[in-house]
Amino acid sequence: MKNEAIIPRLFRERYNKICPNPKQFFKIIQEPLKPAIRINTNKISREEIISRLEKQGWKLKQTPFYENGFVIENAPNDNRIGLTIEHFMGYFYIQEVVSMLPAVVLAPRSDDLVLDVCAAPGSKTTQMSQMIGNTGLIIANDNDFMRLKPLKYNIEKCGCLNVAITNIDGRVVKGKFDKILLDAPCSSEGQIRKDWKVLSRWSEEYIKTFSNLQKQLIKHAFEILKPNGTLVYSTCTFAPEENEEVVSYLLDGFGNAQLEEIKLKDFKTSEGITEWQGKRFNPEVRKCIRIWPHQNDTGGFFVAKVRKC
Amino acid sequence: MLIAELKSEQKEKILSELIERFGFDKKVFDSFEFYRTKDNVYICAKGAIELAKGIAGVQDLGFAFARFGVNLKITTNIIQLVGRFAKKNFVILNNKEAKLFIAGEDIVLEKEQSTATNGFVIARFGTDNLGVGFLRGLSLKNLLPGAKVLRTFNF
Repeated sequence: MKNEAIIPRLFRERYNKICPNPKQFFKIIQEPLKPAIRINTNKISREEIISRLEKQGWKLKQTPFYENGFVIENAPNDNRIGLTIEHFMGYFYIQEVVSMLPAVVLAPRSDDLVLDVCAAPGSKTTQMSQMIGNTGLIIANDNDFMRLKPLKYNIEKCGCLNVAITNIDGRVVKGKFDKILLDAPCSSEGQIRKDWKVLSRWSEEYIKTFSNLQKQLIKHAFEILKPNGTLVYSTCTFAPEENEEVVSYLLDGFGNAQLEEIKLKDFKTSEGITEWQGKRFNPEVRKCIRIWPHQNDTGGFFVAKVRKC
Repeated sequence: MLIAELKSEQKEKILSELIERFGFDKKVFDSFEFYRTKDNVYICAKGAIELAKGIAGVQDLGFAFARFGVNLKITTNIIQLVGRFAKKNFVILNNKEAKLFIAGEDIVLEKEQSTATNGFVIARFGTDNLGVGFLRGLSLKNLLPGAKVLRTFNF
């Protein structure tokens, strides 16, 4: 395949070292990702929308860890799911399977005050809104003013009445929250199957820039978490500098930060790595999960679940 | 953003106007709260206003429920959420008309509508409440917000 030639040598060397079955990994990242949707139960019942789409010939396969997530296995007459009347109505949201993971791991409840630190364009905010039955309150924050418009659009389209928007740098957000989702800005390596251009801006310097920002974000997010609260940290990248290194930084800096095991039924994951380029991480980071694209035919992701003791 | 909950008499006045127009059961709105700005009434989840008051820098909470004008106009987002509970003042579109509506076009309806009188109406296609229009005779002015308009679709 032509794409093979533009995988940077350094990228290949890095992930040859830590990826389980790298041959499969480098093969699958050159293949397009199947589209996936999340049923929006704020607007329609799961049964009704499944029945409507299946009658039209859409073949859906439920994600093993979330009852409202579905991969589109087959489209009628090569149609695009985004052009259906059901999408116009906001009965479902087009969202990658692995992107549904952080909200599932955070498991918000309606009596929690929830903060989504980097919320735009709103995939996980709107998912959490429906998970708590459009009740309670989620603060959807994003520091980028230009991204508030799509965030607001998606909140409205999904009929989320339990969301407030703020536009504050995630490193200085004020308040105390029961649950915090920090889906951090990252180098997006796990999105390669959706956007091959990810590799054109890839470099180790680029990764380091994100790593520094992520450390500041996770530190502040932990500080504004209530005692016994839960923080989920996630990225869509493979780089250990942006994943285990960031979580390890938090664990080493805060004695009351404790990682929790993440168990997902029928969904393959790898544990976090404890060493990278001569750096040893806090051994607890094994409890983080990595999702490599070839494990479940998805994009790539990293998730850590932290409790404040 | 200054969020002030609507006083109960203001809320009653606004709701009764919309309930009267669309035949909603009042209970449909029981689990929500309302607040207003100069031009709009907003709707959000019950208890959200009090919680949001403790948060710095809130720009939006919930979304617009209705806009003030000569008559109160209910928003497309709310109609898509609760339009199924409306018992009157909806127009039933056929496939061709629904496509035109979603594409943002004004429509001359093929049939007179016994379910609607002139004024703001819900544009309904099958069980889907697509949005709001303004009906005058057979002419339906499309009030779908530009960002929602879809010019290519496959139904």
